[in-house]
Amino acid sequence: MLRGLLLFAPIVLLGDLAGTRLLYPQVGAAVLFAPYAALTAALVLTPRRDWIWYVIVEIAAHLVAWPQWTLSWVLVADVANIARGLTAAVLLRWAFACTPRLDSIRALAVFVGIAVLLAPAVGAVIGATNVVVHGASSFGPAWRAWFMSNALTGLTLLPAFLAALEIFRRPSRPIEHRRILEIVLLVLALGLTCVFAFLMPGGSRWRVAWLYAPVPVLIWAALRFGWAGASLALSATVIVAIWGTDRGTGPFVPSRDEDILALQFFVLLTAVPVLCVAAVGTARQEALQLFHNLLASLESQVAIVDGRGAVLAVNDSWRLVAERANTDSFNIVGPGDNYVRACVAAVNAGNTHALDVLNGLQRVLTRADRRYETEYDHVNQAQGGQVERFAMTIEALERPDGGAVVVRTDVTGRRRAELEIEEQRRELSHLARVTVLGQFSGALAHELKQPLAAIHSNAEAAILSLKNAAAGDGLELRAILDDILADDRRATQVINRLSALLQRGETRMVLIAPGELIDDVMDLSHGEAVSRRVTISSEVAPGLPAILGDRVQLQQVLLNLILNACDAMSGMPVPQRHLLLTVDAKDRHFVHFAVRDGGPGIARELLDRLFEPFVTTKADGLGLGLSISRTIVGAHGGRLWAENNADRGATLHCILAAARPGVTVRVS
Amino acid sequence: MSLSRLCTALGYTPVAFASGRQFLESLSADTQRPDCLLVDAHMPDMTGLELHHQLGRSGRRFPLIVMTADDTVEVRQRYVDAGVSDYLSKPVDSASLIGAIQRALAPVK
Repeated sequence: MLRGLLLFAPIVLLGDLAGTRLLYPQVGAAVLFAPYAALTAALVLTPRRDWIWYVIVEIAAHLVAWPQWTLSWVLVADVANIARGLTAAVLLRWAFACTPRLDSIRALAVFVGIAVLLAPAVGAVIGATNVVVHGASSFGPAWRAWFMSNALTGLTLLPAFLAALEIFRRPSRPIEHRRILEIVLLVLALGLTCVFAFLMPGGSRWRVAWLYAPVPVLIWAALRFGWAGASLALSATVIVAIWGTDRGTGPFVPSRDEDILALQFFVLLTAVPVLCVAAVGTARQEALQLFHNLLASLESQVAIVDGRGAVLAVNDSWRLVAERANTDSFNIVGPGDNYVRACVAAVNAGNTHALDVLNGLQRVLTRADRRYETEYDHVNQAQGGQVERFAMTIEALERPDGGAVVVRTDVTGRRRAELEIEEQRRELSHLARVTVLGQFSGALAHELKQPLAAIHSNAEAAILSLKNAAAGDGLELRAILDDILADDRRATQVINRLSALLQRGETRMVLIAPGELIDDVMDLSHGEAVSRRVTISSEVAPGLPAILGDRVQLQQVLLNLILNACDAMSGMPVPQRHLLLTVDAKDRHFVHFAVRDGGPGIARELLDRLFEPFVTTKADGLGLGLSISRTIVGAHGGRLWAENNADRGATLHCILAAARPGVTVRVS
Repeated sequence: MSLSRLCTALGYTPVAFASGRQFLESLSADTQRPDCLLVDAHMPDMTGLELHHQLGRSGRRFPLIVMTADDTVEVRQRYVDAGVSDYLSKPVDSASLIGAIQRALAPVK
């Protein structure tokens, strides 16, 4: 606090003394009253408990600076000063919640409302009353003089003080030499133009024109140094203007109140647009800074191109890749290069994905599309030919000249993870299939032994026939051999289906006739159904469209549903153990499979969770079968769900899209 | 079909039925009695054991030879306990079939 008071005391005393230099001739008010700015800045920046000390110092400085006036006059004037300072400080703290910054038009408007209009108006009422009580002037002119001097102070010195204090309080950063040079040039230019505007002896016809000389320099300060630079430059200008007027140079004459008012108006009318420019400039600078920070923080490579494809800006990630890609024209692009031409060069060099990107880029640049997305593999020669996966988006820019933002993201890791997940899913699916077949194995052995036994009996019958006299009967032998062949085919079919189900293969999408799928699973599950005393029947609607899918995976789904249905019916009396497998078409666009059992049905609370992994009602079940089945059906773009039947049991439904809606295809 | 052929070739006169129920129905209609029954353990509508019990309940006992593809100790024990004449594992060769039929017919002769 002591440091603050030691800084505050000389400023407020010098401000008071400076205020006595140029006064309204009749009313006696100062033209510019620095103590208002100093007190308000001090109150805004210090804790409330310290305020009393600043107020005491302010009163003391006032008493020292204005000895020629009566004590009562000075004290009432102090009441006005303190009321004004408190009003401004309390409202500014409330409105800004921190040190006021004039970095937007809204902030500037709030600041002007409080520190330039309201607080000076409040102070001026007390000050003018004081003047009237002491018989120096009438209320109106006195109020106007008090108001104007403090409004001018609020608009120029107060932001300058706040800016200066903020600069001192902020941790110091090294300033670039170019920036220092610019500040020196700015100070020189401002000094020179102020000399021409306010310090040249009167009488020249250029006088009015010279008055505007500082304006371009003030705008320079506003644009390059924001509200801090603008308010410091405005403060310097107003001090020189007052000094010149006091010396009798410049356009304003200090002999009449109206001339002083004109000087104040001139500075006020100059300050408002300059501070507006500063606010807009600061907001733009900050937006640009944010934009650059945002670009720099992105891991993705980002480039911004104009309507013709010329690169306007790139971020660090993009730059890094461009620097490393020594020969790859597709990646070597930097600011100033043309991305369209780079793509053309890459296409000519044989880069296959560059052609897609080129087409996408041109569609976005010509505004045929708003957005283009692609993924491609890129062979990174710099990394020993390593294959990298990139996701690219090109998004149109919303601006009159068009253009686009090109974003490249290295998704090699994600892609690898996706492939690993796919591999694991395949493994799990295979495991589930093997598990299902494990449960079928007894019945499948039976299925194989049946035709083998028939072949055996037939062969023996043939041998015996040959031994006997009936050997001459060629017709009988031929019938036996035909039966043997048919049984052999049957056995082979079972083995083929088994080995297909046991194989761990890639997904193979083929056209499948739904009826064949039903035949496949009916054959495979026949033995199991017989041993479980379940009768299975099937209904295949005529003229079904083909579906596009992986035959083995869809068999796995249906086998799993059949096995679950058989399990569900194990506790039912044998005559009720009936399973109906149906397939029909829905709207020509969908093929609908249903597995309907006569079991006890599915408990309501389980119906929703049935397809979640590890949810099972079987004592020895893993609870993966239905979850995997739903994943398989989902991967085929279909839907798998369960419903309880109105009478008894449950039905599992599976809907798949027809490959060519309405077209019946017999696939064998 | 293949089994009928083999029986014919062995000199028997087989009559084939598609299911256990068909055989039972023919039994009530027809007065002709078979000398021996050759049945599959898993017929479409009933097991060999069930047929055996049904025949027993109706008081009509025939020598019964059961054939099965899934031969396990438990299953075989169940059939033996039930008192079937013989139990053959598929595929059935002519020698074991003749042996089984001859054993089944012996007490009747």
